[in-house]
Amino acid sequence: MTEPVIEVQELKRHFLSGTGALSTKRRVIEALKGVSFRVFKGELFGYLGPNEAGKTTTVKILTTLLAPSSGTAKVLGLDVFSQARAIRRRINFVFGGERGLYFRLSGWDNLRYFADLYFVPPAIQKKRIPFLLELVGLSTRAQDKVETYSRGMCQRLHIARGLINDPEVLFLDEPTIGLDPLAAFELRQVIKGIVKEGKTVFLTTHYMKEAEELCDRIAIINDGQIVALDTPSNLKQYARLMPVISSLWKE
Amino acid sequence: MSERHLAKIRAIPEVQAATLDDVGMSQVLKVQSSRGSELIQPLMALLQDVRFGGVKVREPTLEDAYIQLVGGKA
Repeated sequence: MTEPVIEVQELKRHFLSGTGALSTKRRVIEALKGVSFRVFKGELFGYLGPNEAGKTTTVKILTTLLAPSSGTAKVLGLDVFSQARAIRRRINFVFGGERGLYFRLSGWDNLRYFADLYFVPPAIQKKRIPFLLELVGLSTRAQDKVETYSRGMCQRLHIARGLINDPEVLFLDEPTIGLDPLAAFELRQVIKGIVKEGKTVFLTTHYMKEAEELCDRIAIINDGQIVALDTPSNLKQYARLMPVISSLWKE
Repeated sequence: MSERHLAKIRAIPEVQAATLDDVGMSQVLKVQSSRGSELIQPLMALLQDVRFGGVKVREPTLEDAYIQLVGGKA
């Protein structure tokens, strides 16, 4: 893992927020206050932080959906702002939740639709769609309408959709949110399979055990700044060891 | 166990934090220290006059580190 596929340097993003429809009072919200990190090829990189820490803002910038206020962000050596179109063909992203699928289409037809949007040639679609459905464990339900799928199945279909253009980097923004433990476990197995395929994965999550199980390295962001970046085992050293003497009898 | 014991434990240089909670008919003492299990012996020496049911050492988890890093109490 020597080749950086994501390079972020002093990335800042602020938003202007007004209070009330007629009010002219404006305040600046600094979502990112100078974030820097690198993600290497084939790495599963975790990005953890509390709500409103700046996780989704970072993902939106890296996926070219949002322009940075200052600093630089490169994905696959391309600038996210000036070379956005070139990046979009080579990445994909999955956000948590059930939205973004066509419920009256089958799982197979959803993937065909998104494959067309990415100009995937029909000959490749014929091989890739069944491969992806197999990867996410939906082969036997491929012809069923998505409206009959469970939430976990929808999320696995989202992952397949995220891989439809054979992206070099996949962004997963809280992919297991709202899933029951079994569905979340199954999804984690899918994510492990994606990394085995050689993809680079950028994962945001609130679940520590998930991050610990999956990630090669983890950045912790708080209030728009990265406060730690290391392997899961090294990050634990930030916590103090805790001997516990239990069950002292009351005197 | 009394506040006097707790004060003595907190005075050990490598102890970062010590708390005492009532749980039913017993109390639970939690001590955070970079010395880990090496701290058990000096703790035992300080608690000679206290009856206790058990001791366990828990390694830090990623969640402990996370809570500490984002500003909460571990």
